[in-house]
Amino acid sequence: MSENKTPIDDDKIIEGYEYDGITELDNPCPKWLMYIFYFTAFLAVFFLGYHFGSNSKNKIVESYVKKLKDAQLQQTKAVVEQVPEVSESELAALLQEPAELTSGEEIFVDKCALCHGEFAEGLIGPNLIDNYWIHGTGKISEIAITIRSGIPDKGMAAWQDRIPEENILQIAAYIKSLKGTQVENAKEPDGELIED
Amino acid sequence: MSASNDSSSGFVQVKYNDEIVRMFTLATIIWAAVAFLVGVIIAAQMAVWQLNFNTSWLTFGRLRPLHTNAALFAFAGNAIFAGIYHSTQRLLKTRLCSDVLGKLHFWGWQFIIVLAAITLPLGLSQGKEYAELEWPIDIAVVLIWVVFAINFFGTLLKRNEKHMYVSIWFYIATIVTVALLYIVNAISLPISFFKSYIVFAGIQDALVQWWYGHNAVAFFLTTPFLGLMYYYMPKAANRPVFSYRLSVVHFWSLIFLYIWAGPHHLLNTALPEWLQTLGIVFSVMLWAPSWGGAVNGILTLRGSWNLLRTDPIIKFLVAAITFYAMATFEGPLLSVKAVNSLGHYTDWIVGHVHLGTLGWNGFLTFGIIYFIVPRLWKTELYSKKLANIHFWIGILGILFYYISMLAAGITQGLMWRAIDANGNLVYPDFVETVIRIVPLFFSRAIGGVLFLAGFVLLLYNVYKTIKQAPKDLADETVQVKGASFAVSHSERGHRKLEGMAATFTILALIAILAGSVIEVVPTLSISKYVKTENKVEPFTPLELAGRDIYIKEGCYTCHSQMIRTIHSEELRYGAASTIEESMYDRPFQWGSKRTGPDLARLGKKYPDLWHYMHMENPRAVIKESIMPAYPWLISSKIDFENLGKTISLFKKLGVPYSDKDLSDAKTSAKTQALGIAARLKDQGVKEEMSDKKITALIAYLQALGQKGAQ
Repeated sequence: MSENKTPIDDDKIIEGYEYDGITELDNPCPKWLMYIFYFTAFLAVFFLGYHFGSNSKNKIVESYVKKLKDAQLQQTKAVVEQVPEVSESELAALLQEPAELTSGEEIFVDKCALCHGEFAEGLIGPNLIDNYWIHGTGKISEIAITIRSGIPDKGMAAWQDRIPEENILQIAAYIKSLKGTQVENAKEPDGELIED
Repeated sequence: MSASNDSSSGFVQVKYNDEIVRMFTLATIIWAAVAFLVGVIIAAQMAVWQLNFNTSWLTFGRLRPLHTNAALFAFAGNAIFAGIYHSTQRLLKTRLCSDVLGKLHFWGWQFIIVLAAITLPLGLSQGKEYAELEWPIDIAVVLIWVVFAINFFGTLLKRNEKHMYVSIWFYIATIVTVALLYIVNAISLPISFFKSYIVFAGIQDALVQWWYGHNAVAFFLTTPFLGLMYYYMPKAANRPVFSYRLSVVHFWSLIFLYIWAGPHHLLNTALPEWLQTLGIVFSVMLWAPSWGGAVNGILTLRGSWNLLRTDPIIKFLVAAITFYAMATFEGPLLSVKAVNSLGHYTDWIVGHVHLGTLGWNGFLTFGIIYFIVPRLWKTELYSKKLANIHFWIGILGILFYYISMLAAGITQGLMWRAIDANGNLVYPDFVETVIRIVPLFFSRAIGGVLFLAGFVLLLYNVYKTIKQAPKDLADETVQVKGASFAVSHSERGHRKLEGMAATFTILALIAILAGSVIEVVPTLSISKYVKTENKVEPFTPLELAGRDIYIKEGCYTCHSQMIRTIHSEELRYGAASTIEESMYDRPFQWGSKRTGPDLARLGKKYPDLWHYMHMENPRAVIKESIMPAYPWLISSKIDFENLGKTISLFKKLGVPYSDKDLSDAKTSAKTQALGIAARLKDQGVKEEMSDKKITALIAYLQALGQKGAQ
């Protein structure tokens, strides 16, 4: 960088044109800039040809549908592998494991309490502490099914993609363990009375 | 007017109108303070939701349009007018065509800004980004713009300089194009003095909106500022412009290519693919023409690099041009479909925009203010040191802002699309991706505060400078040779064109019409893209009332209604949105930012009570939500009276409502509201909700994605 206003060698001021004291130099457009332009123009022509030259006019949607199919195949496989058959009696064993129930409670308070209340007393969703059940008969395996697939018609989300299977069973067991607890202002019973 | 002939020498005495420039300069500074302050407030609201204060007119959704409109029309607008009036008179060696029109222009424009500042917080909005102003104000904007155009072209006609310098070319392109964009995008039909609906629907509106929106950036924030740069950079540096030929090439390529780029705001959406393709290729081709301006600006400093160390004005101008170069490289990059799929709807875009507005428009304007204030008030700048501090605080502010938003955008974009080995979303709860970037909202707000703090120094510096100005501020007077139209250089090509103002203007108009016509006109025959066998039910009257509330509260500033053709979006939100689904939407609500999740398929996902609780206090159902609360929707009443007018208007515009729909509009709305209110009561809401706004909004939200054609 020079300290003085030394003129650059090839600079030539265009004579005869001056605007409020501003003059212009007769420099060409920088070569590298022109190369950038040619490069982008080449890309443009190539991409336009790719789009307008082929029979398909909607490659986005086509490639999207294909990707989606692949993904769905992979997903069904994964879900099938993931959910093992567990009998109700095996699940009932969870009720004797304080660690499992505590873990279930933590997740319940985090994810479920917003709709079912902090003590499962019911809020937007039904209460889960009485003997009345709207879906299923209150078995741990049935509660787990409801958690997994949700009740879309009534606004309950399907949780199987968001909560690992192991935790779903813990939540279901935790809910089962709450049966008969008394909470003030609990939502009134809904569904069928199940005696066991 | 004030020119007097001195026939003996052939010289003319010209007195410039500097008063009008001083007025616009002061307006620029005052409105900049407002625009920046509101910007800092809404940035803070994103970091701390409590700052929405549960108050309708202080809530983000209403203040965000105020911020964008103030920054665009009040700050940038006044800066453009000040700079154009100052430089044009000098470049054309003549006084402004009409002082009276100048005053009308000034006061008209300030009046419009005041109206905007009142109506936007009240929620009077057309719901189109950067074009929210309601129809009476739209008309005022157009009228005042015409006053400006008459004054500018009038000045051009009485010029004493045969050739138009490159700045003037950019001003011409600006005036012509902004008029076209603004008028077409604002075509709407009113149902009352305060409410109108845009005539374009769904995909048409999407395309017209972003043809306008992107070219607001191009022809309001780029071309006029390039024109200013071409005047003030060589003036401040006292150096010749680097290359005349580059000016010619990049001017024409820039204005021709820019107008096509709008669809890059709608990539991977339901927009027909040929339009997306055009949007991409023209955006990518804009890289070099944009850099042409930056190169010509920076290389003008060749031989005077030392000024960069000593002169704060040069610092501001060079930094502005550098930010311009960064933003115009990032723009084409973000227009590439793959990059766009990551960046779109995230804060990256917000960062990108502010790189341009804070860096390019802001810093260029500050440089110009420091340049012209001492000249206009005939004194020295009060403190060069304060200007230098302003520069460094400002730079720090921009960097804080941009880096925060870049990091937030990329982080959130990656979280949205993360899929685990089983093909499930890694972060299925949207709020998880928000919590992660809240710290960056804080650092962005700090960036905004720094930028504002720097500006306060300018405010003080300008105040002190004006205070020390002499009482008598006579207009600058120069002796000019009368127009040397007779002197012929036997010119050819562009030089010849530079002497022909009318021809030049027509050619510029043709250049910007080409892309406009090719992209917009085919889309207006919307039936071509809508499969008629896919029946879509229009919204019920109550749902429309809810939709009006959605627009009034500015929900579109944080929520999109467009599920893109991207796998992770299908997993999160449901099947990709189709053209048909929004075919009756006036205005379209595809959105441009997801601070909250997409709502295209929200309907029936949650019970009515969930929405009631969520609007009353979002934290009641989503603990970590940063959404403002909307308690006033629970206490204020639905306007049933205007529903008939709305339905009637939509029916005229082709929405398939029957005569019965029209005559029963009010009753049907009340019946539907009673149903929702009864359900809410069932679920435990104590007060009667059937006539409250919340009920209409719930009706609308529950209808999203439930009208067929998926």
